[in-house]
Amino acid sequence: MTAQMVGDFREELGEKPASHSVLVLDSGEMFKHWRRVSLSSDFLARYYSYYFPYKEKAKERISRDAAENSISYILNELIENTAKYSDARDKTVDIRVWLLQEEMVFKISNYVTPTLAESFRKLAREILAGNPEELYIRRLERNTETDGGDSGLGYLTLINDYGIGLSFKFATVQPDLFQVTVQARMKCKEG
Amino acid sequence: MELKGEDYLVNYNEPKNAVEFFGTIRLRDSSDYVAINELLETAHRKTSAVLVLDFRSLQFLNSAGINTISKFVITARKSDTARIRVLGNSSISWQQKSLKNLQKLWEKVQIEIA
Repeated sequence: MTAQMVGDFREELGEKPASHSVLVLDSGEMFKHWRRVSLSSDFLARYYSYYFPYKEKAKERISRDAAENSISYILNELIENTAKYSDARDKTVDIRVWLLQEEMVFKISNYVTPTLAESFRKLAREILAGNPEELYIRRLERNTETDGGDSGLGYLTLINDYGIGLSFKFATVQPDLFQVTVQARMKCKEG
Repeated sequence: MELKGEDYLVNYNEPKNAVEFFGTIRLRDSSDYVAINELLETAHRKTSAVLVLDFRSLQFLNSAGINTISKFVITARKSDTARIRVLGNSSISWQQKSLKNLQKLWEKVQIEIA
């Protein structure tokens, strides 16, 4: 299996995680009942929020409420994309979460055809190449004029507003099948 | 005028010149946000001075929703009739993190996060 990375995609965690979870879902089922996306994100967000301190005690780390809010937003954006853009026959969506000392790592994978993989790779390169804040504003202005799609804007909010480190892996499973993995790294400290 | 979903409510409070958002709004894509956009544009047309967007009771808004609000702000900027005042809740992450971007789209947008 060959793979191409865009951004700082790390296969190794570099430390033993304090916690690790896997949730495997079906993109077709989520697309059919859209609230399943939100439900899955909220579940993992609440589950991991218990590793974070109450607001009064949150000095070194972000507070429990803030962690739950951010994790839910991040996962919801990433899972929404898999529910919208899984055009291969295999509809498996694989969601992995690791809690490390200083950060949380999320890896969300789904399957796509070569055509979609190519446009996705182009988008990933574009997002990670320039100034994400300028790109975000530029895309919004352009969308108002052309009424274009929202592609990439979700990723840009993660980078700009949540300080998330994003990277992408495109693995060729078969000549006509790609597995796309988006890796998101969230700092456990505020600021 | 109001829009009701299973998890949300968007209410145009005409006497207050305010659009109030409640619950969680995570619709699938921009086509699902058409109704909300129309409500915003109607409210904007009917307001002569300042239109309030009150997000204080909105727990979550996905990026497709943030885009809808952003595009509405750009449209309002272009018409330059009524101004926009945004109310946010500092204990809700997305508001604290993302609402400030609206000012980058139109510097006249007034943002109050308390």
